[in-house]
Amino acid sequence: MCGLLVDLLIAVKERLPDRLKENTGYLLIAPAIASVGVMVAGLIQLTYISFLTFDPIKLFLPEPSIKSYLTIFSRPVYGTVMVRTLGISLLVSLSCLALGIPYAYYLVRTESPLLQKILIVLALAPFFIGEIVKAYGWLIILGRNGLISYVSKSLFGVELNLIYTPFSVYLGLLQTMLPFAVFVLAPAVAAVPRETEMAAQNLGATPLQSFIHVILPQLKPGILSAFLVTFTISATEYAIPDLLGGGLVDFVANQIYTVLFNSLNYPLAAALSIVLVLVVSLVVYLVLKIGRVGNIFIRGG
Amino acid sequence: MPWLRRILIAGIVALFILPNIIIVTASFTESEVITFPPRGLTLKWYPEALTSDWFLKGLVNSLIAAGFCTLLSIPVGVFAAYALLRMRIRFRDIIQVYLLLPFTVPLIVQGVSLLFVYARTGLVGNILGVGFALMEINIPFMIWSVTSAVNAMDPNLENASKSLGAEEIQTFLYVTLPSLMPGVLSGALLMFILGLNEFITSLILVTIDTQTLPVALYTKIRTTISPSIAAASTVYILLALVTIYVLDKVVGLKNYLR
Repeated sequence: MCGLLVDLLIAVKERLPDRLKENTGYLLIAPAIASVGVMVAGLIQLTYISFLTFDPIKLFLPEPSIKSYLTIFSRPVYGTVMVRTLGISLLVSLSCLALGIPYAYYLVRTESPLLQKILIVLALAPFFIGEIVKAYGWLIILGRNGLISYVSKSLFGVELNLIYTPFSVYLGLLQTMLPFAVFVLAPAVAAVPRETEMAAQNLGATPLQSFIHVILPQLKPGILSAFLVTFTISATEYAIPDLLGGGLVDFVANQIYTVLFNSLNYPLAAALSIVLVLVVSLVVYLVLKIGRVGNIFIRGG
Repeated sequence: MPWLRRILIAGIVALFILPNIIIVTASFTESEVITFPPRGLTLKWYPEALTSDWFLKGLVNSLIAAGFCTLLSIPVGVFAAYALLRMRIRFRDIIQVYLLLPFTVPLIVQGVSLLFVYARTGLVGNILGVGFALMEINIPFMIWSVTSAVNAMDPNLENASKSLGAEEIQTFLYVTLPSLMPGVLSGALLMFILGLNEFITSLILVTIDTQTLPVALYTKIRTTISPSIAAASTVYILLALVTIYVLDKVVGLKNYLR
């Protein structure tokens, strides 16, 4: 049965004209290009809609306008949310580096295979646990009658309410993004030859000195990618600011959703989407540019 | 300062697992509302959550969407990875950057973009439309997984097969594909699990009838904080552990450090 099918396939292939046969590569890659193409088609439509006129009854009128963009740049609420999104994301990414570099280093270099396995599993698990479940865990920890409020009440007699603050959003994002940082950094650490470290220490450097002056500079590409990956995902997050911010710590993604489904202002939602993509791309561009020009962390080494 | 390092690592470990431990603990709470310290010990929330309407409906929708996504992703990803690495293709670099768009365009923007396309084609609220969206946003994982398998493969195997007289298609099916299997399997597993967990694009594309499990959970969390949600979430935590176990068996976790 299977053999028959293969024979049939071969027979079909033999009959194909030569020009098609030479281009089988394009045929094989076409489904992937088409799949992404559906999204790209939507993206083009989204760009188009962002330049249309909003109408409360017909949703949008086919009259070109840049009113949606003007709204974004003139009403302070959009600027505030954008600054908050970028600010918290920057803090999350820097924290991911501060925690991710030592974790990745320890993970790669530990002598014990068991410990190594445990550390991999712990870092990998958050990948496969959805954001909703993760956010729910933080809700129980930080929420009213939660773990923190219970501990602070029994220790200091004051109920500490951390939920729906920038801090709770930061914590949720940090837990979500740290695994990305670890798995981007781990291969970079693994690629650093142990000999360079040993040489530094033989020459009298303390472990901390050799870490800062010998290892960190070699990790620079890994550090840059870890920063970019965690920053771009944080800055476009929806679920965690929504559940842990409770509407008080909205990110741009939450704003897009509200404008789209509550105000039904499609042109404005589309324009906000475009602005988000452009701003995030600009940050990526700047970081790559700065990263290439000089060593952004340590001079020398 | 080994102790300082230990405290740091222990702190990160706590950050990773504390929320999960809390969820699992909360699922055994006896009271209707989760409080600290937890009161009582019961398993009653498991049957309650796992047989409830919202859970079962969400689960069925999620299984259909993630299953459809995985089935689509296998041929799409395998062919694309193979073509990129082994076939003569012009503009290879541009195509590679293009195929990474699902990772570079923000998910919320991809969701809205797909919504506009679906609105024109009547696919909004269609569960297979959600499945396609899950495939599109995660397809780089599949391509990457298969690509690393193609890279790890000895090209002499294919050459040997060809010089022994095998036809190209025979070589691909009987020699190439079997040695790509670990990559295909781990890629399929990734697609399936990420599909079961995906939230924001699904939220944009579903209707009440086609709510996936994460969307159903989200709706539930916003209205109540009952331990039955913790029980349903524990299922996800267990599923994540099973996934990691299988990944370890199929490709080996150490691969992720390279």
